[in-house]
Amino acid sequence: MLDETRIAKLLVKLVCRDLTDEGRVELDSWRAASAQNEVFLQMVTSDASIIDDLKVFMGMNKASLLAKIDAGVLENRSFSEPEALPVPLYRPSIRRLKPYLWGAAAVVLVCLILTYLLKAPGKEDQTAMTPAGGPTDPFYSRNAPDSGSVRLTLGDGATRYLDSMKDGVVARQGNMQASVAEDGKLLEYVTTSAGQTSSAVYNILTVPYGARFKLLLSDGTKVKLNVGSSIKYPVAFTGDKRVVEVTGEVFFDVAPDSHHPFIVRAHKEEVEVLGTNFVVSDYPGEKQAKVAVGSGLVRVRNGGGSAQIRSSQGVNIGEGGEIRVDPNMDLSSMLALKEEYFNFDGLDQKEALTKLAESYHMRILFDDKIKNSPFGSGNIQRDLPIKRLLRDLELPDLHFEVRMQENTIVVTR
Amino acid sequence: MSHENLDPRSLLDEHWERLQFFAFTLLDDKDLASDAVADVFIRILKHENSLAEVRNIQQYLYGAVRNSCYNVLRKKLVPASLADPAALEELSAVEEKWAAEHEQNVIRAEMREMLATLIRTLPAQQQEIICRRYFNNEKILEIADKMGLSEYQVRTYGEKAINQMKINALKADSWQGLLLVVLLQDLMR
Repeated sequence: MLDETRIAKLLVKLVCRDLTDEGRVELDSWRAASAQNEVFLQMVTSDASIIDDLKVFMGMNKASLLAKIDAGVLENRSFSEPEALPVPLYRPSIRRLKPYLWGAAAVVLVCLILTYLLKAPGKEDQTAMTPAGGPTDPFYSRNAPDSGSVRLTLGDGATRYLDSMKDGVVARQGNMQASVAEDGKLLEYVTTSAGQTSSAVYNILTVPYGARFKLLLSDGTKVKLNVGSSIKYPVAFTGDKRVVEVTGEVFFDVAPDSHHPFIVRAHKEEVEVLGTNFVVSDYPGEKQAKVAVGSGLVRVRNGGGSAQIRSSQGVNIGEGGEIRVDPNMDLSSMLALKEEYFNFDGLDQKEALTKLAESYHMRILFDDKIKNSPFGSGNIQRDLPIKRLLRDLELPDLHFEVRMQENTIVVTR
Repeated sequence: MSHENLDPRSLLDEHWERLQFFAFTLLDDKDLASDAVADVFIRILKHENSLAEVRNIQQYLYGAVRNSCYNVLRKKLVPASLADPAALEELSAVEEKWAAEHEQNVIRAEMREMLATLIRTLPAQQQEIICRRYFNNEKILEIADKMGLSEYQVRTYGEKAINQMKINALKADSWQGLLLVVLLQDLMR
């Protein structure tokens, strides 16, 4: 520390042109000691051009940044291109030291500090730092889960990849313990005696296309997630209602508890139940959501109104908000999560394959020689891993190469 | 695995200022700079970018923001409909420059953040005195008048503030911070 204080003083002398030859030798050896030292020295002693930049920067504030982020998350908007390019590896290139610009150094430093101070100590800016209405929930962003793994996102944002885990405990949050069971097909929550009571900790379970998963919530409610679905839920239910949020297609067998109604929120609708089994199907990008009831009574609500659905009934919920009973719905296959085909009727080869790649969140590249012929049979199973699925689609003049690392499917003749 | 807090909202609180400054040094446009930073956090919040396997979160965020700056710039320079070769060339030159200067730019943002942090930890009154005295170049008498303090108080609080910043820098084991405070004091004397 003494050493560093000394270097600091030498640097000050350097900037103030008050450095003795002895001091310069000492400083030079410090400079040569690490690239970071060199860069730092360069920063405090050169490059006056940042002054103007810094002045422009003064108008920045956090509130507008937060507004952009919230808007982006809600509206699924991006301010740049949809795909992030990988950061190229760089080797820091340290330039040769310019002659020191003594006067400029002082000005740079002052401006550096000025930038901060002109906006920071103000009280109004401090309050702008905390978002007023609480964090925006990214859950409703209309994105299907990405391809690949069954993911569990914990309350602190950490991620567990469940399909690569053996049966056993995957996370402890307060007094709640989450474990994988049934040969990696079920995630269950149990209360343990250790730890504090978990309140308001939410987890998100995300199931990609090509996989299904089961979940046993802390209240005993059984949940099954169909392909390309996700659910957000508290690790322990504490309030007077049990509320979960879903996308995609999810089956519930709700543990009866008349004092704590169970509420399922989806993008287009909200379903309230006391104790019953039913399926909510609300995939991103699909115009209609569906609710099918196996037993009991549920109430479906959306922006427009609400309707009660009895057992063995199904309803469609359109984007306009209307809730209509659908007498033709195949309830048994709905309740068994058997909607297992992509529907590609009427699409040509390229369109169909593009749509397929989209649902697995992969890019697709076509060889120039691919002809736009009709796609043939319209039914493709939804619950297969992409490689397996494409293998079934191979034709003498249609070949696929899956580049997992680049998240890309290449189609050739 | 990192033990750092990976909650996106806390990350945002902790890093937004340095990142936005960093983006600005690249893009030279405050609105685009905040677009670039916003984008990084939108991706994180939408779980498109997983942080679970990131070793050094700060380094990752700087890299992600640089990436995002590149995309923002590309969107501005090269509209999707026409790929103008000149613009593409410009873009790749910019990319190279950013890559070459990445470390310097990060250090610049970090330096600024370091001093900002030191000042931020002062009591509000001392912050105001430092701000007026050193950056608005106000005279002691002027400050005393505006803040309803005596001249003696302004002088004492100002010295206290500088000393406190030095102590905090030493406590944080930050010789760069210490240097910045000493420079601040000396240059403005």
